[in-house]
Amino acid sequence: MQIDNYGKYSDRSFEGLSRGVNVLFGPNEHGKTTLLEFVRRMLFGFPPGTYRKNRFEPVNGNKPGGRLVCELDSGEELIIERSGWTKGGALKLNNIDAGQRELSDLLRAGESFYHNVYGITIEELYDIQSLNGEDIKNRIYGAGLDLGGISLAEIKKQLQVNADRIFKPGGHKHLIHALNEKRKAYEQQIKNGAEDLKRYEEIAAEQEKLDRDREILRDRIKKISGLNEFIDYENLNGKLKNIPGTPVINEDDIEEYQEIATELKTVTAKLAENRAKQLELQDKFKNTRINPALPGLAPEISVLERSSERYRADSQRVGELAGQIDRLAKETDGASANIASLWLEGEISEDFNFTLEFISEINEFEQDFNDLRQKRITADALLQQQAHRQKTMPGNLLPLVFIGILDLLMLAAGIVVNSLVVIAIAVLLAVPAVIAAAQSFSGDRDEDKNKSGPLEKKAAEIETQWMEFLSRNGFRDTLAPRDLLNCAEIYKNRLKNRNDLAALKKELENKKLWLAEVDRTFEKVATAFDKKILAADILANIEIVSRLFRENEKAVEEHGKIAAEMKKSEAAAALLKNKTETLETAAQAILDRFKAKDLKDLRQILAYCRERDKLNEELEKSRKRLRNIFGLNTGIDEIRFQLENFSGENAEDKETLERELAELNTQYGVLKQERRNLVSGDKLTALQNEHECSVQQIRDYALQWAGYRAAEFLINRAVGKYERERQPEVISRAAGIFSKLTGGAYVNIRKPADSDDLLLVGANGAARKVLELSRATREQLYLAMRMGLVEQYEEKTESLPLVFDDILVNFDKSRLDLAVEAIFEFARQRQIVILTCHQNIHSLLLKYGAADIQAK
Amino acid sequence: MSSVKFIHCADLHLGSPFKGIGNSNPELAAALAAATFTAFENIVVLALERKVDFLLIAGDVFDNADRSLKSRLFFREQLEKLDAEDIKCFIVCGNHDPLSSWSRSVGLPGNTFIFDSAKPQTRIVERGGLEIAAVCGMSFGSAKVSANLAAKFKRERSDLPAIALLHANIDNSSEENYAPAMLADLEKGNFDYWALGHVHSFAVLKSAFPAVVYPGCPQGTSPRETGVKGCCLVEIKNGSAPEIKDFAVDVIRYAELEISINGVKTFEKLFALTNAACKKLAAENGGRQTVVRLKFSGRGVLNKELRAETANGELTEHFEQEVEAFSEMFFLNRIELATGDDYDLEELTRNSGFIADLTACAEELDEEDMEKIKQAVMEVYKKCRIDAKSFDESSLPGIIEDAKRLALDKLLEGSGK
Repeated sequence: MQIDNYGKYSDRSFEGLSRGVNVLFGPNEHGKTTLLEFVRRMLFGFPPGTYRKNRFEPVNGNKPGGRLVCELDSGEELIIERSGWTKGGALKLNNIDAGQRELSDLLRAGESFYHNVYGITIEELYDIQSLNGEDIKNRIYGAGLDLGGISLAEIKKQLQVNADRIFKPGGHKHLIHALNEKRKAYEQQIKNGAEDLKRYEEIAAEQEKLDRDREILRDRIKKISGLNEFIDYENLNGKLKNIPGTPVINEDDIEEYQEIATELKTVTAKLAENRAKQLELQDKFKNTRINPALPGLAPEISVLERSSERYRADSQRVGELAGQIDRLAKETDGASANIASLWLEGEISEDFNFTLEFISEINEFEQDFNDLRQKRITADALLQQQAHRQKTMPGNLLPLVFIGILDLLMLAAGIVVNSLVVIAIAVLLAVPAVIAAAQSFSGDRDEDKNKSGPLEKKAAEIETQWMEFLSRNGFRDTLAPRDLLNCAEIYKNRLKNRNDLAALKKELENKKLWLAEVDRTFEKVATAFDKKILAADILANIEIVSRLFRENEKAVEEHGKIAAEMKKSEAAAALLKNKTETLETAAQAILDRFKAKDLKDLRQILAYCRERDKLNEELEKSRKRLRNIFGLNTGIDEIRFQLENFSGENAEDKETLERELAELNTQYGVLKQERRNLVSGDKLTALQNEHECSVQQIRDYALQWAGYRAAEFLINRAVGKYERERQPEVISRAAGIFSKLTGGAYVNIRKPADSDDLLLVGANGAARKVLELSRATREQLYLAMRMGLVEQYEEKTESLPLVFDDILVNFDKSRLDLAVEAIFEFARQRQIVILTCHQNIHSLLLKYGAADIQAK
Repeated sequence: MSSVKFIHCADLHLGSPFKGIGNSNPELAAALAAATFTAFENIVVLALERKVDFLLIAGDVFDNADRSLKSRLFFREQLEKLDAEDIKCFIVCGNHDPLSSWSRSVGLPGNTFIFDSAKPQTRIVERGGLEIAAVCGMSFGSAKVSANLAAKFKRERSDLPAIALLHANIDNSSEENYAPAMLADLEKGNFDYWALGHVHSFAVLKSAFPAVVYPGCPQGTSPRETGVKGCCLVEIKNGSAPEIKDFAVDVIRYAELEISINGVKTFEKLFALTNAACKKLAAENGGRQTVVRLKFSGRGVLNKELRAETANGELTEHFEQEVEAFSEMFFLNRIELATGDDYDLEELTRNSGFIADLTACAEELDEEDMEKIKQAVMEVYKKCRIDAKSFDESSLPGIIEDAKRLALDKLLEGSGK
């Protein structure tokens, strides 16, 4: 046994433990109980925090733990290790994690059983003294019940109390009694409720009698009321018959007639308006004059209107054209006369064409002639200059002359203005001019003398070529190039004039034709007009015609409009006429329907109808009143029949009768209400349900009660079974041990079948009850019973170590010896650890061979 | 042979107080009070819809002699509806409403005929002036009839479908006061159809030649009468075997929901389980009003609290809300506790010889022991004038189980376990 931490022990091992008896000696507070508790806890787990007794928490504050090295019956070794508080402490079996279930399966003993049987303390022995017989029995048997220190008697008592609370035969304070009282009350009410039917039948009979009485009264009241009413009815009927028979008319019919008449009036007025308007239109139509021929001449008039301006222009142009044609004809003829002599034949060749190439050739000839002339002139001039130079200042001194003039002018001006400067400049300019004039005059005189011979030759060649050219082209050879060129020009102009002339003639002809066409058109249009209104000028006439045409157009349009309006008016008139006829027919139909002549008649008929309706209404009311009095299905003839022989009673009688009837009605109403209550209330069913409900509650409680009773019954049965099947063996074994413990003073223990008490049989055969034994003997009995239980229990299970905590302390010397002997004998098959603080017991046990346990 | 169509019902028990209801919930009381009436109304509606030739009622129209006026008037009103459509009604009286108990103060319409109790009578049914069936019947004259009434029945017309109408106990020797007869007796009568009453469950004892049928009651009136309740629509065509269809007409059904507290650690979970069970039940009952008996079983940590709270009524109220909140058609009748503490009985048995003996004793109880326990209950019944026959023998095992639990709880409580 190794204690790591537990109570006051810490890292402590107990060595020398072996099979058989072991003794651990120590004074009080040595920790013997701690050791006993340690063994219990190692086998069944450390208690949880909620454990109310001493948990033996390690004083060093560590978690509890330790190990037991055990030897099983088979010789195998089992190491049980446990540590910590959680779930009883972590358990290991042979160093393997295990659950409590595995260990419990191995031990096959419950914690309570072990606590009560295997671990016995001196306190439990002390307790025995204060217990009565029943308690002792329970304590002793209870040890074997593995139920801790419970009292079966207490349990049974509790069950009994619970059962009695529900039901106790003969009692009056239980639940079922109260429920039964309630049930009985309902039962009584149900019986009373059954009276409803009888009352219902009584009411029916009373109502029947009341019905008869009420009927008689009603009949009398009816006839009193009915007589006057019937007279009224007959009077009304007479009045009704006096009203003439007419068709039935109502306000709506009159209103309809009036509406038709009003509409007819309106329509007639509209028709008159329409007729007046038609006349007006007819007048207007007639008064609107038109020229019927003009619309057909619209294209011609349109042409004339468009031609007016041109006509004026073209007329003027025709005059102009005649003049131009005349002038051009003269010019052309003159030109022809001028150039006709240039041709060899003396007349113009009309086919000749002055081409550009021809003109170019003439120009070349002219250029050649000009060049020759120029050269000849130049040569002639040089000769003349020579001659002239001698007489006059050469010609090329002109600038110098100019300068000289200018110089003179300046000189004169200088003198006039009296300016020396101007005079000086004039002098300075004169000097070079004089020098230059002298040089020019003497220069060109010699070179011009050698050029006149070849020039003449060349001139002769060109002359020849020119004359050939003229002959070749049909011209006279006397013509100079310039003449031919002029001829070409004239020819060209003449040709142009001839063309222009043709064009002008054409234009003149066209215009004349167009003017003639316009004239013809006008002639056609003019036929539609009175000649008197026309002027002599066609252009003025066109204007007149155009204006009249426009006016006529407007007149035609106006005419159309009036015609359309007249047509529309005629159609409206037709409709109005038609409507008038319809309305007249409808109005007449209404009059016919009611056979009336006019509205007045209709109103009279309506008055009759109203009167008749009023009377009918009153008659209907009267008839209803009669029906109310005599019954809905009673006809007037039947009423008349009933009243024929009724002399009538006065109004006072009627009031008395009505009071009597009201009284009877009240009585009837009360009965009716009572009957309705009886029918609708259904009190009986409600009571039956309540009754059934209370019965069911009793049934439910009866089951509960039976449950408590059966629980008690089961416990008694189980105790009996336990005593019968388990206890005899325990008692038999305990008896043997008890005999040894008492040194044969007691030889047997008996358990009578009809009693819970034990009888201890002495050597002399006398039997004593437990309470008759001395305290020490009772402790011996108690010890013997425990050892008997262990023997009986371990027949099927592993032997477990027993721990006796100073249980021998109250034994005297002889009893102690006997107890030790018995314990040693008992310990042959098992291990017993005896904890003691008494030296004598320790010594005695050692003497008998107990192993002395030392803590290290 | 002509064809005929009729409805066969029995054991209406109109206005019968509902048995087995331990509380007086006003809504439930109202629903239950109306249930037998509505169930019969359903039969009448069925008869009108199917245009039957007649209605047969095989006894026990009323529950007892203390019948209410409302019941009588209601019954007459329903028969008048049939009368208006020219549907005949034939009635025989049963042990709950013997002929002597019928009062003449509330008369019945002309279409209704109640058979005499002296001897069987035969009535011919006509349709459009033609005879279509012969109904033979005999009523109970008093609540106890030990004679074999069925043996007295004889077919009088072979040319018409023959129907026998009787309240009787067939092939059950234990009930000798309810016109006991054997099936063989019925076969001798040569009828086409035996319309019986008395047994509250639908049963076809013989399907043809003759057909022997109990339609069951239209509405169960105690928790023991669980399941579908209704009537039979029968058609006999030209002498062939009757076509029998059973129709559910009941309004309220009884149901027991057993919920185990094994492994259930919180009431929320328990409520959830209850809710789920209600849902399943609602689906099964097709929207009918249902009186639920909650039975908690198993062992678990909730046991003690469950018992304590149930005892003081708070929990019952909560479960009532749980059940009734689920559907307005649900009513909680009662809570039955068959639960125990959360202990390992096997281990306890192994560890304690006494507990092993206790459980063994509970299992070894014999008939004699059962009788003793029953007699204990009977003691209460006798004291409170409750009919001993109304004791449900099947509740005995429950008592034993309860007793075992009580004993174990007390033993373990005392031992500090």
